[in-house]
Amino acid sequence: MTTNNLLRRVSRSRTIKGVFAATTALVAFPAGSFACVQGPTVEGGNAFSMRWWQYTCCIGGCSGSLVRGKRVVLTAGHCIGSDAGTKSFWRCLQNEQHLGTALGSYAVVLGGWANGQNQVSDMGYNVTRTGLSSGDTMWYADQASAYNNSHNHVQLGYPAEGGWNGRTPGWCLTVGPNRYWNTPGDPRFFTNDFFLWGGMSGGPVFERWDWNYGIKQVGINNWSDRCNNAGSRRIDGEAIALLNGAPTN
Amino acid sequence: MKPVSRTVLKRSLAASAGTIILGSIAVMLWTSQHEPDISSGKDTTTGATSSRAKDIRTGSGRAISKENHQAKFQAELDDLIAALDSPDWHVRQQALARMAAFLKSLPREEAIRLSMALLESGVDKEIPGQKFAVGQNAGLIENPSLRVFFLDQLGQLCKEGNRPEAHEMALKILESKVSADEWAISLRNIAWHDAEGARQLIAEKTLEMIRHEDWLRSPTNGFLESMDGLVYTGQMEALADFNKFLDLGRDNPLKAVGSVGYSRMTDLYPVEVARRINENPDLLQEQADVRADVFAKMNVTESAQVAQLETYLDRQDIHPEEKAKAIKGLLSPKLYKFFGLMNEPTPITESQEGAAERWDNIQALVNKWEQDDRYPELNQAFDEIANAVAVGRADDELARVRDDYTADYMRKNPGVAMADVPPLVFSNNDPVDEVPPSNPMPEAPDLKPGEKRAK
Repeated sequence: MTTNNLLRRVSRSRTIKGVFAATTALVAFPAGSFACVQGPTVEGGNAFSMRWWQYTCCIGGCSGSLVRGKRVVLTAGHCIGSDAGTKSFWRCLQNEQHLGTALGSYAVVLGGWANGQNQVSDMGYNVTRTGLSSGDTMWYADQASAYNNSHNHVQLGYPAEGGWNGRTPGWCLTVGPNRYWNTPGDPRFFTNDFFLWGGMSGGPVFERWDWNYGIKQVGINNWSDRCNNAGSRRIDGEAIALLNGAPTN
Repeated sequence: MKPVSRTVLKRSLAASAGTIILGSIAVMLWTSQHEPDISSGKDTTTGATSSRAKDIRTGSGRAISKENHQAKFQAELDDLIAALDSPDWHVRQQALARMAAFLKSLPREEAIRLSMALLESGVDKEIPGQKFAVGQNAGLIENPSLRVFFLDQLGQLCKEGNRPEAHEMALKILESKVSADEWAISLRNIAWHDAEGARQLIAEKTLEMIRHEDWLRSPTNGFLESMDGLVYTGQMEALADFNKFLDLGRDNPLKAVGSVGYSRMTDLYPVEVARRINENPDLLQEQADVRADVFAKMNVTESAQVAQLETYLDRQDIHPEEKAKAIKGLLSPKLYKFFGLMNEPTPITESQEGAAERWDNIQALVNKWEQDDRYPELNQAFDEIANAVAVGRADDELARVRDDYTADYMRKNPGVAMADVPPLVFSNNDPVDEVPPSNPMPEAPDLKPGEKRAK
């Protein structure tokens, strides 16, 4: 469903009749736009629940995850680009159920003097003007045991190329145990033996966790050499500390 | 009990005495090499009479305690140096953490004295696999060398105790350009000791660094992090240096310094940076994107910033495409957020309502320009801004509809969690949009820990 479709429908309600006329330019506007989709809720009987991908977002040619409430989309730094507003767009899916779309209000790259352009800083977040879902915070990021191979992991994103051809909704990889390991010499990353398609950058890596404690994101898709080697930026203490300044409303 | 022969006892005593004597000699030798000269009552690390040294001599209990600390410190140091040869990053990191914890466990004056003694001794060791990395509260989370580690620890100890030793050591280090990393941590220690009074010195020394050819050729992480001093002191003349860095090759680490430098400088000194760029047309002439990003950070409710923005838009040497990018960027600027050596991360707390209000203010300014027919070449950008603002308002309305629906659903269905509320469905004839994805998620094998899945 496109944003225009959604708006067209909602415009039939009295609530936003007055603003519909202005919405048709959305696709043409180059500002960052975000669409989060809601997929089926399948729980039980499997190592992974699908609920978490309700909160995986499409950001232009990249992916992200909705964190800390409704407005903060965690993604890869390289998905933010040279500024917050030039990344587009939202329509890389088919059959999705939008939780909402929104334009970017500002973007933050979590990187500084010594790593402004390398993979350490390949992490950031967009803050949307409008809340993207009606849910509260659905997962939390945690630095612990991100590479614990006794845990299962799932790696999500919306591939804009490759096997999913950009038109299929976007759970992407289900990862069993023993397929993650430390990146030698650099604890800020972990590696796996999958490759990621373009478009999955910025998508979340979730770790199987005790459901009583909710969803736990432990990494962000960063790179792939297309040879069954892919890497993720670990959500470490630094990332958590920097994320703590992001808005929650 | 088996009787001990006199000979055995003698040998045993001799051996013990020998051990004690050898140990004492070792401690004395180490002390003579590594410690301030406490016998004279002078602290050689500062050249000043040390009340601390006098205190040590006045009480035997404290002297014993000092020797204990000395010996324990030496043991910890030996362990640390051995661990730094480990190929395992975690082992190295844990050893450093142990030393930091040990120093914190000591009386502060002892920890400072021992750290100073080590730094004065010239002992150093490179820490493989570690670069200079700054964490929360400007503490180092990675240290490239043993000396940088102890300079960091010393700085923290002195900050907590409001003591001068780290500052004094820093001034010594800044006398000669041996290590950029040591300069970087020294500048932080100086800023900690005298936040306001040291600004001039920090500005001068950081500018010295940024123009030191040897360090520019192969910049260390410490060198790069020290650029925080330029922002801390608001050195506008560094903008020209940042500009040079931006013109370097893509893989040059200094290029990031240029981007981050302009961004952070503008966050803190928007009018000054914008004025500098407007008054120096050559600045960022080859960096249209960066220049547009600078003006995209202007606050349209501040008249001085609007004035600089309008001066920029009036400039004939700038392509309309760049200007369009700048004014559209007002809606969604980009910021860097990181732990700096001297500056706190930028606090960004704009609420949803705040964002809506900011966009309305941008729209009001654009309306005024349009009414005055001031920038006709930017009319398309103005239209796009108007559309975006309207879409933003529509999104707000949609969100309100969605939230109302969710609240209503939960009220009518007590016990249903928010995440379990079905998605909002609109009744119409549009095709397939609410159909769940057709391809199921692949089955994740419920493997036991340690079991491998075939590729």
